[in-house]
Amino acid sequence: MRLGVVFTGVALIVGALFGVSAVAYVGGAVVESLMLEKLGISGGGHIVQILVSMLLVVMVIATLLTLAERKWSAFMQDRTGPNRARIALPGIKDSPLAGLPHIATDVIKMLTKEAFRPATANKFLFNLAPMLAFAPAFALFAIVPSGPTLDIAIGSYAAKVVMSPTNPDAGLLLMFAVASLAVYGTSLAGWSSNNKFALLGGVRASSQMVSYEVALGLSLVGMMAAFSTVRLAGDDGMAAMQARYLWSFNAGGFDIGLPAWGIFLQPAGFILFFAAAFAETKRAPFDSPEGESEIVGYFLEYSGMQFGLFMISEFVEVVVLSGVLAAIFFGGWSLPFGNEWLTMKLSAISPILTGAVFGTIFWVKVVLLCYLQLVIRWTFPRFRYDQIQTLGWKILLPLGLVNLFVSGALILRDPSLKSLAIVGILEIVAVAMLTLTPPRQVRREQEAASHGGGHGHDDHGHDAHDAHGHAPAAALPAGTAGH
Amino acid sequence: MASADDQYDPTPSDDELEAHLQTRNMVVNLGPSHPATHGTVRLRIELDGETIVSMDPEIGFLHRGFQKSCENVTWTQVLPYTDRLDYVASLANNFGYLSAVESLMGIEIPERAKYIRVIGAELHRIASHLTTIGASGLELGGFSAFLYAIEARELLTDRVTELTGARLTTSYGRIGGINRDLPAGWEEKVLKSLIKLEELLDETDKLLTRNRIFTDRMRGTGVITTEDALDFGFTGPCIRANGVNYDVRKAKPYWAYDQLDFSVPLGNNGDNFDRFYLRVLETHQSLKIIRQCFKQMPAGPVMIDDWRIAMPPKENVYSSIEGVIAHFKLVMEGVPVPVGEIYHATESPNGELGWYLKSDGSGRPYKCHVRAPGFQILSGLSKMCVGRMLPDLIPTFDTINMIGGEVEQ
Amino acid sequence: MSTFALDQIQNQLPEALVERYVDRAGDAWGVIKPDQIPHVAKLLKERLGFRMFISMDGVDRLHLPPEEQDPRFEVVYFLRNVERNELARLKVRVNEGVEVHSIRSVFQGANWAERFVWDFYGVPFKGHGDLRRMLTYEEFKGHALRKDYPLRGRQGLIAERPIKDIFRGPGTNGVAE
Repeated sequence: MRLGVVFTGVALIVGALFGVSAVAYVGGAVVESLMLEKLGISGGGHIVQILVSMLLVVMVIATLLTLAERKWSAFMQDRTGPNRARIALPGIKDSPLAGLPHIATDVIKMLTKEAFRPATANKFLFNLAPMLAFAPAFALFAIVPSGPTLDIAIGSYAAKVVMSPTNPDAGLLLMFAVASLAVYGTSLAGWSSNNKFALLGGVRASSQMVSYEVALGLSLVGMMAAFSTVRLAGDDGMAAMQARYLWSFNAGGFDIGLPAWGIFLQPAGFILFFAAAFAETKRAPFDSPEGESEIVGYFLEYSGMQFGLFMISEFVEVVVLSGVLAAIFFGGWSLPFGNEWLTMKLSAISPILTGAVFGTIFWVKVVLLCYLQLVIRWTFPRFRYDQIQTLGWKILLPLGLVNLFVSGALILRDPSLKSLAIVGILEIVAVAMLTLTPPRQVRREQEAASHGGGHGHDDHGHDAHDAHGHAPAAALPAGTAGH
Repeated sequence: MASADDQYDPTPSDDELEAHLQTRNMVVNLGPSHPATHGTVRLRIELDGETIVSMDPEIGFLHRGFQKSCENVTWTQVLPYTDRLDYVASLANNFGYLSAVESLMGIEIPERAKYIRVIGAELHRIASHLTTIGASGLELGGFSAFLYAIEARELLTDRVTELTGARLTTSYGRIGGINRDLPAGWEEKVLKSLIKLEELLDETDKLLTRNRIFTDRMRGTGVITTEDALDFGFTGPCIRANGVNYDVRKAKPYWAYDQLDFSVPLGNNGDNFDRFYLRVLETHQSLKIIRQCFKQMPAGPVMIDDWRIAMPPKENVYSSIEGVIAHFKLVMEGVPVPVGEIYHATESPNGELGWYLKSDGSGRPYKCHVRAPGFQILSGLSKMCVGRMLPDLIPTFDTINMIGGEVEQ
Repeated sequence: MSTFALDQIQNQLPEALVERYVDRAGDAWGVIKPDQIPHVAKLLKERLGFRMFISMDGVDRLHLPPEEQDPRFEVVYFLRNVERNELARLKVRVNEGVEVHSIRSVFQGANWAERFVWDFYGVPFKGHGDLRRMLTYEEFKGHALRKDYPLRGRQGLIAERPIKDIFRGPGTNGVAE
C-alpha cells in the first residue's frame, strides 16, 4: 500500500517532467520557426523555454519544495509532518493527500496577510528589497540547459531547438554577475527595516555572499578550462560536452564507460562550488544571516507575501543550484552509460521523444540534487559568522587556487582530459576513505582526566586539509554520508 | 579617542584616523521573548559589530513569589510549588525539598522510599540532561537532534506519568517517604524504556559530537576559569566542566547514593563542549544508577510509620479515634516541624539545589530559601560572554541550562 | 559536624565573631558583625579555601518570639570549601536601614544574591555599587518578603518607562513618520 503510493508519486513526478519536456520541445520548435518566418527573428524558441522551464518547472518545483522540506524534515525527525489541511470534497475529505493542501493554505495565508511595514522603516527600500532578493535568484536559471539541442520538425514547423532560456556567449560569467546582485536584496532588507536584528542579519548576509563570490567563481575555472568554454547550453556547451566518454567500450551496441562528467574531472571543484553556492543560498549550515535562534534574520520585519518572496527565493535558489550542478558536474541530460545507445534507439522513433526523455533525465537529476540539499539542510547545525568567513577565505579560496593550478597543468599536459580524470577519481577515493574512516571511540567511563571524545575526529578533519587539500570535503560529505 | 586638535598634520595619528569614523555601540535586547531564551529573560547586550561589549541579564519576568507563598502554607503544601521551580526535573525538586524538611525534623525515611527517590531523581536528571543536549543542537540550527532527544524524554515523561499521575507537576513523595509505592509492572516498563532511550541518546550524541560544525561552535566558547566559576557559585555540570570534583551525591551522600556504584565525569576546559558532553556522560551514569536501584531495592514500607507525619490509613481514620485525630491534625495543622534552621542540599540536574529552611514551630515554614543552581550560574553569564561574539552567547546560554522557574522563583 | 571555618575565624578574626552556635542537625553557625563580613569572607576565601560561593538570603525576624526580634533582619551566607567538603554557615544581624558591608568584591557571585536580599528584604549593602532590584521592577514599592508585606499585596499599574537606554537604530532617529 505505502509502496504503491510511493511508486505512484514517483511515476507522477517523472510523467509530469516528461510531459513538460515534450511540450518545451514542441513549443520551442513551433515558436522558433514561426518567428523566423513571420518576423525574421531567430531564437524565438527561447521564449518558450523561459515560460516552460523557468516559470513553470522551476517555480512549481520550488513551491513543492516548501512542502517537501517540511515533509522530509519530518521523516528525518520521526514526525508525520504536515497532514492537517484537508479538502472538503467527497472521496478525499478524510485524506491528508500527502500534505499537498498545505501549499494552498500557505499561499492563501501569505497573500491575505497584512503586509506590515514598521513606521520607522524606509518605505521605498523596504518594498524594493524582496523583489531584489527574488529576481536574481530566479534569473540565474536563464543559462541552464534542460535538454539536448535537437532539430525538431512538426508538420511545416521545423527548427533547431536550444533547450535553455537563453544562451549567451558569456554563459557562466552571466551567472556570476546575476548571482552577485542577490546581495542587494538581503542587505537592503536588513537595513531598511530599521531593526537591529534585521540589520545584523543583513550585514552577515552581505559579508557572507560577497566573500563566497570569489570562491564560487574560482571553483568553476577548472571546468571552464577543461572544456574551453563558459557556455552551458548549445552543442558546444559544457553540458553537451560531458556526454562524451573518456574511456568506453561497446558491449553489443550498448556503450559503457567513464563519461567526462564534471564530478569525475573536477571533484574538488565540485565540492568547492557546492559549498560556496550553498553559502549563497543562505541555508543551513550557512544560515547565520537568518539564524532563527540568535538574530531571527534580515527579513524579520516582513510579513505576508513580502516575506513569502524571501522564502520562495530561497527555494528557487535551491532549484537553480541543483540545475547548475546538474548541468556543470552531473552531465546535464546525459546518462552515465548507454547514452549513445539510447540516443540511437530514440532518434529512430522521433526527435521529440529523444528530447523529452533526455529532458526528463535532466529534471530527475535536478530533483535528486534538491533532495540532497534538503538532507544537508536538516542534518547540520549552523556555522558561526566568523567561521563562515574563515571557511570562505582561508580554506575554499586557497583550495580553489590549488585546484585551478593542478587542473590547468593536467589539462595542458593532456588535452584529452584523461589524466585529469585519473587525478579526479583518486581525489574521490581519498575523500570517500576519509569519510568512511570510523572515528575513535568515545571513552565513556572516565573518572578524572578529560574527554578523549571528539578530539580524534576533529583532528582528522584538519589532517585531511593539510595532507590532501580537500578541506570542505571532510566538512560536508562526512555528515551526509553518515546520516 | 579623538583629540580635538584643529591643526593640520600631514601624518595623522591612529587616534585621528579613528576619529573620522564615528562608531557607536549597538544595544540590542535579547528577550524577554526570544527563541534562544529558555523561559523569559531579557539580555541587554551592547554590541560592537558582533562582539559583546557588555551584557546585563534582567530576570524576574517569571517571578511568582515562591518564598512568600511557601511561608503561608503548611510544610506539605509547599510541595506543589517546588514542582514549578525546575519544571523539567520536578521530581528532583520534590525530593530535594522533602529531604531538607526531613533532616530539619531529624527523621529517617524507609529504605525502599530512599531507592524510589533515587530512581525518580535520576529519571528526571536524564530528562533534564536530554533536554539540554537536544536543545544544544536546536540552538545551533540542528533541529533533528533536538527531536531525537525530546522523543527519548517523552518516554521518561510517560513513565513518570504512570508513577505520579502528572507529566510535569508531579508533587510526588511526602514528608517521611513516598505517598504511593511503584505501580505494578512499572519496573519492566522503565527498564524497557531505558534501552530505547539509550539508543536515542547514542544517536543524538553521534549526530552532534561527530559533527565538525557542532564541535567547532561548542569548543572554546563560553569559557570560564575555575576561579571565576567557583566565585560565581557554579555547581553541577557547569563546575565539573572545569574539573572541580564537586557533586553533592558524592560529597555528602543522601538517600541511597552511598550504596550505589557510579562515577562523576569531569571535564577540564570549562567550555560549552565540556558542559554539553558531561551531560551526555552523566546520563549514562544515571542509567546505570537506575538499573542498580531496581536490583538492590528492598521490599517494605515506603512511608514512615508515625501518624504525626504520615497520613493514617483510611480504615484507621474511619474506625479509630486516634486515626481521626491524626488525620485532622495533619490536614489542619500540617506536619509538626520543630523550631530550628537547616541548610540542606541535594544534587539537582543543574547543580546544587540547596534549601535553607527555618521553622518557628507553627506548622508553616518561617523561611523557605531555595538555592537555585541556575541563579548563581546565570549571574556569571556576562563573564562568560563579554568579549565573545553574539552567536557564542546562544550555545552558552543553552549549556548553562537556565530554567526560568527556579531562577526567578 | 566540622567547625573548622568558625574555629579559624575565632582564632584569626576574633573581633568579627559575635556569636556561634550549633543547630539541631549539628551544623555550626557563626554570627558576624555587619561591617566585618567582607574581612571574614576574604579570610575564608583566600586563606581557608572556602572558594565556592553557595548562596545568600535574608530572614525577616519580625514574627519570631520577642527576644529574637532584635535586630530585625538576618542575612545568611553559605560558602563551601570543596577540598575539605565543608560548608561555612554565617549570619549577619542588622536592624532596618543599617548597612551590611558588601562581599561583592570578594565573591562575584554575591552580586545578584545581594541584589536579591535588597529587593526582598530592603537590607542595603554598602559598597555593592549596583544595588538594583533583582526580581521585581524598579517601581515596586516595599519589599515583598518582609513579614509585614501582605500576602496578596497588589500594586498599581505603572506607566510605561521612557526609553532612555535604547538606541533606536539607523533611519529616522526613532521618530515615526
